Amino acid sequence: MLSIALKILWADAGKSAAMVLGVAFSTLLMAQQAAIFVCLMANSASHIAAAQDVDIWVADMRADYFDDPGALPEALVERVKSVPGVAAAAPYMRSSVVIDSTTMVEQGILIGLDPYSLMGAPQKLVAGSFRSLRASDAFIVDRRGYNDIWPGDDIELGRRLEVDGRLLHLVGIADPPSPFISMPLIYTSTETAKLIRPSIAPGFILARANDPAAAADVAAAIAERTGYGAFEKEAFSEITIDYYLTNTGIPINFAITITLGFIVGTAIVAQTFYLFVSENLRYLAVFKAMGAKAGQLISMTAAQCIVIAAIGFSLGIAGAAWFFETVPDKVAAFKGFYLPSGVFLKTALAVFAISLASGLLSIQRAVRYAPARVLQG
Amino acid sequence: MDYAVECRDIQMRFREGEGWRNVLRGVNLQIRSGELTIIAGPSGCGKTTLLSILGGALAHTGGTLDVFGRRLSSMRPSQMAGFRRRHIGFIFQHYHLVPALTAVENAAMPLIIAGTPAAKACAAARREFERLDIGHIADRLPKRLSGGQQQRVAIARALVHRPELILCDEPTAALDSRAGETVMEILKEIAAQESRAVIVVTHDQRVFSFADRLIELEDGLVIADHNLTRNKGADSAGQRAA
Ligand SMILES: Nc1ncnc2c1ncn2[C@@H]1O[C@H](COP(=O)(O)OP(=O)(O)OP(=O)(O)O)[C@@H](O)[C@H]1O
Ligand SMILES: [Mg+2]
Repeated sequence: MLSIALKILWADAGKSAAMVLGVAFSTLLMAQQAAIFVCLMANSASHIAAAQDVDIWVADMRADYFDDPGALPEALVERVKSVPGVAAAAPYMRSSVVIDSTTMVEQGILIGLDPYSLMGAPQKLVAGSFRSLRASDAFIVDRRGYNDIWPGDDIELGRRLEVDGRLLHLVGIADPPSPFISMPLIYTSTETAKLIRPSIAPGFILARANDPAAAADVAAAIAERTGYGAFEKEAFSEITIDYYLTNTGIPINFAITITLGFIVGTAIVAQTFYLFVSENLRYLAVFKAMGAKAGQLISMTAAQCIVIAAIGFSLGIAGAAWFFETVPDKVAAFKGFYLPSGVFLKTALAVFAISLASGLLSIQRAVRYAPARVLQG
Repeated sequence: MDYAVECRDIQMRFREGEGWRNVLRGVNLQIRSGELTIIAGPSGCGKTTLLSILGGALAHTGGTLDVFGRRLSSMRPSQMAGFRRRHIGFIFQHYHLVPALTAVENAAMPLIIAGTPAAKACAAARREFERLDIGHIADRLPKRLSGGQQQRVAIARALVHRPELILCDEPTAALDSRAGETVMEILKEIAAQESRAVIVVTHDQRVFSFADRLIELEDGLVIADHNLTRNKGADSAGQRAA
């Protein structure tokens, strides 16, 4: 019965192709948009994962904190250090600044680090050295920022850049995972950061635990002792992502696109399936006149749906995979983006649900069709 | 004797606008196995409706109907479907072959529907094709068959599951007279040799001569019932030998 169902399906190559393409298109749309969304949200916390030698983030937990990390007292560094279980602590300063490369003026993000412990520094350098950050007015820029500031130029250390009116010299190129906001990242020592921006204060205090496995307990102790929020880094990533999820328009925008993908997919698949079943109604009715059970007609249709959904999904997800295989290497805005397995599974679920639901809705007509009507011609 | 089909006062009415339309108004009939029965009558007199009821494809609204001793009148739709699966072979005017399936796959459908594995069902259909002398077209698609060949495939399909009652609605209407005669000869042979009941609905007078029995229907009632075997026994025997 099922092989018969598939033969009937393939015989109508045009409709089968239309259904497969409909499924593929909505798979592509949903998977690609959902993956970009998930990666983007993950990037909102990428600085947390990128920061080296950090187990715990101490922060002020006011609601608008993440967009504009507020000023923590510098004395807090010592208080955090004194909490049992803490091996080291350092400030992490962050502020937006104006950078002027003589050819263009743009916004950048200044990150002030302790140049001796280098806690919170990006883990990978493409050129130069972190040690050089100890020099006054030295800075390290991220690779993408370098290309932004000096488009097309080869990497060349020692270049000069004006940041908030102060002239700095380049001592290294970092390669952090892509940040949520695509502005050049200017890493300096906390001293240099204060020279650039006298009012700057630590946005976070970073801490390392003696035993990284006990970081969560140590964080709780810090919170209790200092009265500030203190989180083990994974927990802090989640809090940060949650913040962007609930406080920005990004989720709504993506929800709309993903829903549109779902609706368009449903419309295309449902309509072609409806037409397909309508055209086969005569033959399904003949089977019914011969005594086929409703369950047989339904399982025939379900088999057709599953095959269409499987092929369409494979094509669509291959398209999405191809996108994430090629585009992130070429387009800086998508750097590090990938197709998360959760997106893969949920898209598969949605696509199979669409296909089965539209097939089963369409087959209702055949199930209800009176067998005597076949004889009436 | 036991009749293959026994109708007592069969009534059928359909909703029409506000009221009802009585299409069958008390049909009484007994049909024997081994005979080719033709039901004839003007267009709209209720032939197809009666055939559908006899085949368990339509539930009548009055009277009682027994087919091979089973009371169809009291069956639920799912039981009727099971009854059709086991006991009825339908031959439709427009063949209703599935274009995507080969001739032999089409003919195997009743067995496949009844749960026989496709390969076994197709083998049985092939044997039926050999009997009907259409073995050479078994693997063709319907669109590559003539009308007469398609109707013979449809006959094979009606026979493949060895039903006791074969119901044909206007089986010759779409065929030229030569092809129509061939089809009628086959149907007559099936009735005679395998002792099944074959009922053919038609208003094609050219084929009346094949009937063992001719029932005339008019306006939902049986108006005449001719037994033709006695008068033409020698005649039809000659035809069969030919
Ligand atoms: N499902 C139905 N609902 C309403 N009326 C119906 C239905 N089926 C048949 N009829 C009506 O019943 C009457 C008899 O129809 P039927 O098809 O049995 O006639 P017939 O003798 O087979 O005619 P023909 O020789 O043209 O095929 C017709 O007037 C038809 O319109
Ligand atoms: Mg009719």
